[in-house]
Amino acid sequence: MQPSRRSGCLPLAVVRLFHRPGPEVAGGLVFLALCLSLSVGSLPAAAPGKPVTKEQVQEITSNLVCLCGCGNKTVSVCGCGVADATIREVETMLSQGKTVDEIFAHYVNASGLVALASPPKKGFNLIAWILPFAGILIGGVFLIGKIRNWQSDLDRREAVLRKASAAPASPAAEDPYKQRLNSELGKID
Amino acid sequence: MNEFGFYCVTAALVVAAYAFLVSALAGKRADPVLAQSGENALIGSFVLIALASASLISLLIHSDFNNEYVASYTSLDLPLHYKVTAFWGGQTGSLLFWTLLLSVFTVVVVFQNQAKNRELMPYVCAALAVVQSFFLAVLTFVAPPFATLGAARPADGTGLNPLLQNYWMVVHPPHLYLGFVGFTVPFAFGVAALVSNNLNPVWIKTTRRWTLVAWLFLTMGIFMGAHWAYLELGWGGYWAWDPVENASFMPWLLGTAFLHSVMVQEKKGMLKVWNLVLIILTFEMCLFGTFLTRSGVVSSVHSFAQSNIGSFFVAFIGGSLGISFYFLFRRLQNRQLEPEQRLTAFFSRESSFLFNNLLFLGIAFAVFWGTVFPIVSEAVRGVKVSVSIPFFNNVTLPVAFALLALTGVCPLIAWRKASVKNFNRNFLYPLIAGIATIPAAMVFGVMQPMPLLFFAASVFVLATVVWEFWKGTRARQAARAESEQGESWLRALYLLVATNKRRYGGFIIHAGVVLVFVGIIGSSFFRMEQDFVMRQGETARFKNYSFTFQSFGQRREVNKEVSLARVDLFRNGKKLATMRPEKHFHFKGEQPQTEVDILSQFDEDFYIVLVGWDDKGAATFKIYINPLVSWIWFGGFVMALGTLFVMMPNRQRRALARTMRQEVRHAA
Repeated sequence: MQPSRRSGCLPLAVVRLFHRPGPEVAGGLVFLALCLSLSVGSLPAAAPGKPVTKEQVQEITSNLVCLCGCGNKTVSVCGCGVADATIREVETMLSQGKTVDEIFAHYVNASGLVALASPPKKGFNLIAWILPFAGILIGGVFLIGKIRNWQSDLDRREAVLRKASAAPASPAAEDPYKQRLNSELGKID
Repeated sequence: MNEFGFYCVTAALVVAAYAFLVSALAGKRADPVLAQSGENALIGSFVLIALASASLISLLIHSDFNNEYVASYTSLDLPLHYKVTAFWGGQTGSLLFWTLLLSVFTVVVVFQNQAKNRELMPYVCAALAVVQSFFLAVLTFVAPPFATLGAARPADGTGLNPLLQNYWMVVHPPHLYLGFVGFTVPFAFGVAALVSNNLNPVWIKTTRRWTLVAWLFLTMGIFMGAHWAYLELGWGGYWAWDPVENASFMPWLLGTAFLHSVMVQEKKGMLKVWNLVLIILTFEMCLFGTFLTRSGVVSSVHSFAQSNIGSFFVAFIGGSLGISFYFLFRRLQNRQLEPEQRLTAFFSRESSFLFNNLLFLGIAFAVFWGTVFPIVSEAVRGVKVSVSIPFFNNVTLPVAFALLALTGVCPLIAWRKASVKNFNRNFLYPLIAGIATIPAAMVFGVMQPMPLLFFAASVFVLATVVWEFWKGTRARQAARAESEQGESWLRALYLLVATNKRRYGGFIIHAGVVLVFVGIIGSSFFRMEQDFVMRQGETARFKNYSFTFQSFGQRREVNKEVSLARVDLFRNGKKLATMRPEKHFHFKGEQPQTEVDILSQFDEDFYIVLVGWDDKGAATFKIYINPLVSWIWFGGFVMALGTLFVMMPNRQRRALARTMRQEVRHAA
């Protein structure tokens, strides 16, 4: 049972420090130091530098898999303690000026490609991306080809029928069953 | 009771195997006596499986921890209803549940076909018996639900996973299983048609309702699972492309493709081979889904641990696939599956159904490939990779868009060959409505291309549905006016729909699909989230909401300790509700369980999670604003309603058929 804890005492400590009389300033400093040391555990490792937006963090954490064992949820949605810690790490790295690629490389070096939420689009892993679209494309081409063939067959049959209905009927073109019937009827007659 | 259950399962295996042999022989020899014996054996098998199931439920209710399954999935403090539903909570119990459902469906099929399909039935029974035998063999030799612990019997059980102690988790698995098992019936008939060489479309007509019922339950099961995830997992979402979620989605896609393409076979005598391929693949995907869920081969939040049944499932899937396709190729070689007509125009309903099928299969393959790629990568290169939400979204969204657009086109394009006149009559106004959506959405602040395209396509499809109802009602009224009978608009609409439930029920389902798409796009692209650390009595603001953290408390329940916060929620100054997000600490659980609170509204959900608290009275809340999520659940409800409507008997047609039969009898 480990609820996450967040310290809110730092601003209050600063207020107390500047409003206490002289002899108690030392006590206030000690108090401030204590608050600072407690805050370190719950705030990201402070580094001066670039401001970090939620969108930047989201761009990265939505492409990292949470390795808490939940399955394959991304860090941005898992919501567990491991995901929270990863989000803070990413915030720190961004504020230190690291690029997106550098941050991804950090996690790949630590945990392997399994840390990424999608296979990278290169080498063997490119197959993962290409195959579904290739399958649809091949299926589409096959389908279009088949329909075209059937259309051509129909056009050819219709052309033959048109030709047959235009030309006078010759004995050679006559239905063989009709021929046989006529010859049998002729024998009777 | 353990021994009784074990003997029932073993006896059922023997009886099912007998049913298979006798039914196969009956088919080969066209022997009605043997056929009857096979059917009786299947009834006997059902009785034995039902007794075995009743034994397990009894053991669960009585907390007999001598039984390994009972000890693993229940505990003394588990509420009674969860003890009963633990029947499908674990691997072996769920496999027995699968088998029970299959045996019930088999008996129904036997009774439904007492006086018809007598040539097919021996083969149908043989197919169903084989599937039953497989599951019974797994239950007997590999994953027995009646294994005992003997001296290692614990005083109390491990308990049910807290995530499963939820209403939606009670109803979600049975619905999914009803869907999976339901598809076994059209599969059995399809294979029976192939093996018996009885290839007229009777098997499709006979199994149409079964396919609809299976599809309905699978649809509802998927929505229930998504709803459970939304309520229970606490991340504000409902679908994470988890392997087990994918395992239910893939057969749904294939089953949907099958439902559509059988219409072409019924109307035009085309796609005979394709429909057989589809139903075989749908059934195999149902087995694959069960295999994925139970074997744990791809790790997932749903998996119940790696097990040893995987290789048996792979062997059975391979074997059944091989035999089915062997008979299919034999019939193909003998040219016994020639279509009665050929597809001759690109712009026709037939070709639009084919392209619709292509897209369904494309998405199914993309999901399948993404799900198994981690295994493939590890097997081929020894490198583990992950395939998660970004991959599936990037790959499936473009195809889903095309599918949505086709949903509007397919039902209205003419059979055989569409013309410009047909296009103008059916599509012009909906197309205008769809295109007009883009600037309208931009006025409301929607600027991203994907949501704009999806909203436009959604409006287009909805407009085609409305237009079709409108045109049909007007045409009916005009026809009645000519014959001077007269009909009000409402009556004309009612009778239009009542006399063609299949067509208009299909439109209702499509409307439901559109609502689902709109909900997914809204909640995916426009979601907002933020964390708030608040002390009691403090008020925070987010979007046009304000919320005040009123109090925090704890209470003890039978099997858990609950920490809860009370937060008053206001929107635009007006109080909406008191939200009560909680955290549950189950005595037998390892991880705390998040119980979110959600206020669902027409336009968006306010979703609050209690993340943590300290002993100074401050708490951390995570707030999500999820636009249009309720449209997803409502859309699912509309889809279910539409399906029920399609399945309703058509009284007018049945009366007409009865009259015709009487006339034929009198004439004879």
